[in-house]
Amino acid sequence: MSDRKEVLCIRCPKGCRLKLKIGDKVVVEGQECKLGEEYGRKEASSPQRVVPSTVKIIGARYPRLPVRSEKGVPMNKVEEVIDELKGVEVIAPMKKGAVIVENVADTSVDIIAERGMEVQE
Amino acid sequence: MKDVVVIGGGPSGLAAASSIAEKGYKVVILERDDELGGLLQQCIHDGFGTILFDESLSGPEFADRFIEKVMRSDVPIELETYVKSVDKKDDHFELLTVTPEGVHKIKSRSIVYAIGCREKNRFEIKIGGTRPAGVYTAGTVQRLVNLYGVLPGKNPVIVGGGDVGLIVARHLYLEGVDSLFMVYPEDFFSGLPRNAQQCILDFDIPYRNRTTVKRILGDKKVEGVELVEVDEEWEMIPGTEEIYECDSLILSVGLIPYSEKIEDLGAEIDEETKGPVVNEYYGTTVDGVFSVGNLVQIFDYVDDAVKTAYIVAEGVDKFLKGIDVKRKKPIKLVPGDKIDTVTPQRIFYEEGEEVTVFFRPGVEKENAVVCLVNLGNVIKTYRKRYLRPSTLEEIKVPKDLFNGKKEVTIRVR
Ligand SMILES: Cc1cc2nc3c(=O)[nH]c(=O)nc-3n(C[C@H](O)[C@H](O)[C@H](O)COP(=O)(O)OP(=O)(O)OC[C@H]3O[C@@H](n4cnc5c(N)ncnc54)[C@H](O)[C@@H]3O)c2cc1C
Ligand code: SF4
Repeated sequence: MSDRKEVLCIRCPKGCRLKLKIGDKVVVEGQECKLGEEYGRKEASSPQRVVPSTVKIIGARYPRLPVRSEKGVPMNKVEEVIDELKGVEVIAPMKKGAVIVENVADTSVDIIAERGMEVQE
Repeated sequence: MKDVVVIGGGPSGLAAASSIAEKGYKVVILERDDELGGLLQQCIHDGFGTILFDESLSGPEFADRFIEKVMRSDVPIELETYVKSVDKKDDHFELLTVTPEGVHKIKSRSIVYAIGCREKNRFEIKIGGTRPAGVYTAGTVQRLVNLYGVLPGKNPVIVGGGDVGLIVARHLYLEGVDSLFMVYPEDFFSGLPRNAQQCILDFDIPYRNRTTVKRILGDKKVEGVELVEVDEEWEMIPGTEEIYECDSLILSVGLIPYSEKIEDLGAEIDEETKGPVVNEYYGTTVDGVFSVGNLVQIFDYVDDAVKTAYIVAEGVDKFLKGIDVKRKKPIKLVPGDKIDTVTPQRIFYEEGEEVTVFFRPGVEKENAVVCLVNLGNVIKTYRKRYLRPSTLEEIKVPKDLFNGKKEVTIRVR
């Protein structure tokens, strides 16, 4: 017994159309790279999204520091993650990849800095 | 005298400079901004690098890979250096640059333009009405929100379903505007399906297809827009006008290569791509002038844009070594039935194994057969699982296929 489903891989702009066969295990077809297989499997059971946002940074070239969830968080947690980032404030300098929020919204996923920012008036 | 000047420090310029320097040439990068990375510094969503690195990176992370590489090399980088004009002399080029210190001249044997693209504005798509504050392009909003944390308004309308607009819609929604409405003239969003899904449909953001903005209302600030329905040819349907209140209007109506500068130098411009006509090594029709990245055409995907930068190094090398094995007349590659654009547009050199050809389909089609045609005969076919206008396609064409031909057309059967 298996279920069939078509989803669009959103990991990159190629947008491969994945065909999922969902049974004891999930068989993914139609991906052009290996990220698609992982995406297809997750989409079959528990859809996840990487969340990009920004937090306030003090003393840097821009007032905002781009951050993202290190990996996907459950889709229904996206808005909670954003809300938790609203009050966050960091101080320059900041290193690329630094953990900004640990275990954001109880997802066991960290929020990391997408880039470094030096001190600048 | 430099061997090569690379104009533009976005991912394509950085990748081009590194590959050219690896061949032993004296290269310099000129960037008008005060940091490297180009447009990607404001593209904070992920999805970059899946082809080149097998990882899904954000824009700044992707850019950083190239910045780090250049920093580790001995390629000099001139920031806050705007290239105002370029003059062609007998055997070199003379560049006029403007920096905070003043105006300078630089001499170089060749030039690689990597200056990217710009967004179309309201006048290019003929939106009428007043000229109040509160009208932005989507890229400007992306910059405002992602770098400065400033929202353009509380109740924006986005016109155009392109990628930048879709991505900006998600940022605005998540950063907390009161209401958001997207309209676009196509049947379905013109951006990539992945962006329609993860930016609009995931969050139930309201949208309306076959609709555009006819007029902007408001004296000092945007107070609303007049929406109108359009038919398949995008002609407005009289009697369907409707006023919609909003405090800002965001245009996501397409990108266009920054080709004015290179056109001034005498390079031929392609009517379809709006970028310079290039050969298989990304040389323009002016000897010694090359063009890479989004200046050549709009690559939806930066991974593809960067591929051109790796290829250009070969072309620059050939030019500087004086290898002149050009075909007497370059072979033309032209878009045929159901194809909108093709790059490169010319094949110059006889030697070499294969050419990477990019084309943009004019239709959506499953299990498509793409044909190369010469004088009415199909000389090669490629199978493509799914074609759509929002996704640029790539094929590898063996070089010997061009021998003895004047023109090869690419079409969809
Ligand atoms: C608003 C916007 C959003 C985008 N979002 C995405 C996205 O989400 N995903 C994606 O894959 N692609 C996106 N793109 C396309 C993006 O432009 C390319 O993927 C990528 O940035 C191309 O790199 P590039 O090096 O060719 O150009 P760019 O990154 O644009 O770099 C060009 C560089 O040249 C410099 N320059 C320009 N003129 C001069 C001059 N006269 N003198 C000196 N320097 C100069 C500029 O400052 C800039 O740093 C977007 C484009 C725009 C406009
Ligand atoms: S399968 Fe790979 S190439 Fe295809 S959309 Fe997903 S990430 Fe991109």
